[in-house]
Amino acid sequence: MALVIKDLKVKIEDKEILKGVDLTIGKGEIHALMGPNGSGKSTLANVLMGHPDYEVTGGSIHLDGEDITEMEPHQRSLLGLFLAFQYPVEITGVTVGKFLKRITELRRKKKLGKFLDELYENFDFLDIDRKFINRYLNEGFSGGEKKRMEILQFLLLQPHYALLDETDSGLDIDALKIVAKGVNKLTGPNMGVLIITHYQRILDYIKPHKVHVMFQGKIVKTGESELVKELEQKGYEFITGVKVEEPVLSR
Amino acid sequence: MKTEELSIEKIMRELHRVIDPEYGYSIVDLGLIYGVEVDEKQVSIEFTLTHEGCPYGPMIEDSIFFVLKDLTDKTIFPRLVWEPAWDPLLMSDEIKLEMGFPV
Repeated sequence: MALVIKDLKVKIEDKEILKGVDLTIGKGEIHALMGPNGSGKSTLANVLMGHPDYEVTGGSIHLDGEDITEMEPHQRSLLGLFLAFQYPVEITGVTVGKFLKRITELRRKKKLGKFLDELYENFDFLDIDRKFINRYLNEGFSGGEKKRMEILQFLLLQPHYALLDETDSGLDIDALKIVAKGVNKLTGPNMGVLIITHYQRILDYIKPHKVHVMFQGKIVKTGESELVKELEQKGYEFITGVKVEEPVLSR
Repeated sequence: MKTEELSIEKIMRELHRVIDPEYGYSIVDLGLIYGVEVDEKQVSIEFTLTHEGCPYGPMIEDSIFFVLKDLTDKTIFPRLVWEPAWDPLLMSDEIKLEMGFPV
């Protein structure tokens, strides 16, 4: 049982972004995907979830043996695929409480007569003020609050495969620890996780089994968690052979 | 002669069986029961409807009588009032959550 990405090629508006990505995320595995800006990491996450702006020009995506390459995002979601957005969208008029209840009901395929207690439990676990239940989804939320709201959805949906797109960016160390706490609560033999990150910090709290480096639309190196230390010391250059104009990995 | 003890809890439990047809929820969860009073002779249920044009008033009144009549020999007296006006915020937390009202 795995999420299998085979030779995936993707373009947007005539520009080829992914040039043949091969990646297999098995249940019970945590993979980290790193790489400089523009390497295609977020594109991969969005394409896996079915973002309509991108066009798959080659290769395939299979989830537990089922070909999802052409499926709509909601179909992939109902099969157990989850994406924590890098930039969560604000939806005015929809309260957090109503939204969370509805998505949970869809995922579990049944109406829930009682939900408030479960909701409060998860809010408290992630240290989110209960007042947020009545706020409109992500409206006026800080970056950290938006990221925690994504993890809250993750906890309620209990997906089979989770894609966390730069869930750590913009977070201070306390918020980061809470995100890790949330992720670690559910990871286990029944879940495959792909953590897309630019900085290695979150990997101090969520231990990956495999680390991949993406560059110019392909995965160019795969290693164990020691690779993260190497990247921290040497920067991306030692893999890509190209000097990248950005700060070294750790913050 | 009914010998069972009549308690407010018992009455409320039975009132849960009365469903408002427009919402599909019990009149208790909707916050439509304003008061329950038991004295020697009667059980008085003060209730309201979600809006003045609600056509289900007589039906709800009949239902209140129907669910309580076997609990006691006392007279069942449903009393429809319009003050204070019902507000969605009177609904139970679970219903408010479902409908997107603040809990």
